[in-house]
Amino acid sequence: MTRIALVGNPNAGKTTLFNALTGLRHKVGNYPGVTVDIKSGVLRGGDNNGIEIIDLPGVYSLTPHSPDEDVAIKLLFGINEVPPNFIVNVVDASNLERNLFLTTQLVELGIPMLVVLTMTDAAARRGLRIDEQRLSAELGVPVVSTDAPKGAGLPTLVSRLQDQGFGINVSPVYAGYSPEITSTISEICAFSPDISPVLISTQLVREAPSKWLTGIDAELIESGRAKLCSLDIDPSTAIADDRYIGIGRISARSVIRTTAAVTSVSERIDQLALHKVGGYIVFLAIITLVFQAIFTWAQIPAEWIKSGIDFLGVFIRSSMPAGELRDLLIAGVIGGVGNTVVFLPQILTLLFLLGLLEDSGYLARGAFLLDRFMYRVGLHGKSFIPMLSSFACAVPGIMATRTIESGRERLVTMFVIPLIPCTARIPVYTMLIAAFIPATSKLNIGIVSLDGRALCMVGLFVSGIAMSFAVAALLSRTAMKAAPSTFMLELPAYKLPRIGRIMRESLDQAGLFIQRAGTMILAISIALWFLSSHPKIQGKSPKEYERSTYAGRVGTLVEPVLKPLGMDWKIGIGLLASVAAREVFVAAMGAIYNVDSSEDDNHLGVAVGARMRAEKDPVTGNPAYDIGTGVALLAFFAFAQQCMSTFAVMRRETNGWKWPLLQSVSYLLLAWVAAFIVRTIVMAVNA
Amino acid sequence: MHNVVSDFNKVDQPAPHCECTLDCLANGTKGEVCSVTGPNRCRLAELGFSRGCEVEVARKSAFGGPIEVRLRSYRVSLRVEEASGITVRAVED
Repeated sequence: MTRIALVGNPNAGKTTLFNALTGLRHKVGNYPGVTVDIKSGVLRGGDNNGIEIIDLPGVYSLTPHSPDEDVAIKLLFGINEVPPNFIVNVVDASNLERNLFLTTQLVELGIPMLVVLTMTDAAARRGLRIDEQRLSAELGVPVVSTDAPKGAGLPTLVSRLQDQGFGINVSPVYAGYSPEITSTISEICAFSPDISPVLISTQLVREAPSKWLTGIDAELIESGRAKLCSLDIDPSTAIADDRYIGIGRISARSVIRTTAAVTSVSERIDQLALHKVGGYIVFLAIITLVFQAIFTWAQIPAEWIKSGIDFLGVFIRSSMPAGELRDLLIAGVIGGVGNTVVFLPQILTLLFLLGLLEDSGYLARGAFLLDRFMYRVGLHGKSFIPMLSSFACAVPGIMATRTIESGRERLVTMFVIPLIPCTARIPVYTMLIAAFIPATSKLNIGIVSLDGRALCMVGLFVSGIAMSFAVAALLSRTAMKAAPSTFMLELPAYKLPRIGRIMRESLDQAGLFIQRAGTMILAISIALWFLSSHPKIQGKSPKEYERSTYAGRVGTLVEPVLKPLGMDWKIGIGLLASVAAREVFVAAMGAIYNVDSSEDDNHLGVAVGARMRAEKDPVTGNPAYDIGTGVALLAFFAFAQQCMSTFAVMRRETNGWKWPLLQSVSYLLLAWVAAFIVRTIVMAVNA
Repeated sequence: MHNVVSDFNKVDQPAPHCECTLDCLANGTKGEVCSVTGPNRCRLAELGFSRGCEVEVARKSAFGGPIEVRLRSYRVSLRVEEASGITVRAVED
């Protein structure tokens, strides 16, 4: 099979071209570095042509600075991988010189290659036209222009790829280096013939060679670098300086200036969107709108779903004989799965709006506006995007941190993401607030009277966000102290978001979320229902033997730790079950109480809460839980890391158990302490 | 091993004709890159901040936030910390 690698700068139009060539539906990000995993597809047209196209993460050069660049560059050098047979270098015509920096390195790889010019329309608007023939002659490889979104130039490109119309540049090493650099490269080549000149030149610029370069090769490069430094040449800048002299020459010969550049629409929008004052007003307005949509507008369809589920519950209750199966169906299936489905409109709205913001190019502006604040707490402007998506779910949020070049800032961002209030907490918050915060509670400040329940929800959100910043600040001043990293952000041109594509993507993601939550909740509810009603003891009601059930025994085991928080063994079971996922808690409590038995309340979330409220202490007969228990639980859920998926993705992204374990343990302690403090305060105020 | 960063910090005093660093340029003014220092100089050089390249400060943000720079027909945003590692010679329009 022939493998063709698509290589280019971030945002050069690689993924758009990939989709056009393979006909696959793939995510195209309008934010640098959205392509993080290597995607592949088969060249369309031609029957079974056996040509595989791989879309590599965007790179600015063949020197890796971040994990996703490392992936792409190792593949191109054939390190632990088979190198591609051909390279298609995607070059943004409106940003020719910087794109050519990578091109001039790629031609030295010795792999047959082809340059595809994209964004020629954007270049034309800036009054630039590129002479393809001239550029091709300068680079020594063929050059083809395309406009992938409109399809222009694609047939030519496809037939080129099928006929393997690529070219090889004969020059193995750039001729424009200063004599010192040229001799250093050739000396290393003489010692170790298996490393190519371009690998040497791209590693000499690093403070230390990449980890995948081992043994003699790494030593040779280190001594080569030391030698250049002793000659007062800094390879980190001198090698690029020399290359750019050549690039300037190529560009001068192949770029034709047609008209004077006009101020682009994007620049005019940015005059407001990045304005020192106006920019922040626009930003706050957009964020307010997003939250307004989630918590107000999305509630309307959520109510419809809720009524549908309630109807189903009532229907099953009235049409089935009482018994274990009915309990299971109502508490486990409808209570558990139904409670997750209710949040579908909120999750969908959030995913869709985030998609709109990303695709339009606005998210990168957010990173620009917020960088100074992020920097103060040891985060990166780019941390803003993963943190924003974490309001939907921490898992895509943690994955989105891959675009952060600095390993330390990426780790801090990943570490604090589970504190951001995600959608899985909403069902738990809603249930607990309804159960424990009186509907009549008010907070009066002067003439303003705030609703206690709404205030509680806002408070939970604010404390989650505030805690994530506090932990980030703490970490970057102590355990993860390091020099501030680089902030190099490219602001892509604004474009009209592709509504259809964003809708499809949000539906796909929401579907996965519901599926995951649904199956897990169902399994756990059934397991809990079984564990809390077995082993059966003859002649005794469940009330009498509940502590001797399997669940009762486990719950009794953890009870001493929870007693100071006003919680008993039953909540203990619920908390243990919610280690899998937070939203499991509601269904788990339902299964433990066998919620069906008495009440005829119509909404299960409320029903579980009402059941908790009605729980009596078996010894004293007083209510088992008070408002202190409620707020302690809320505080616990705000900070504890109860999510298996987050744990798994942390393990994968940090490549080890250390960080996910550290995260889970430290947030468990934090949650316990916060719950204890909040409970103590509330009890003191209420006394 | 040779420590490049500290070496470069030692020879940090700009040559006589290099008047200032990039972050000192006013909004809308141009300069020509003389040298690039600091831990991220390698990435900056790759992005086109090479000796002799003309750069223009396109936007300075509030609260000492990022600086947007126009160079080689594109725009990139840098932090003040990075921009202060780039010495430039002011260029008259």
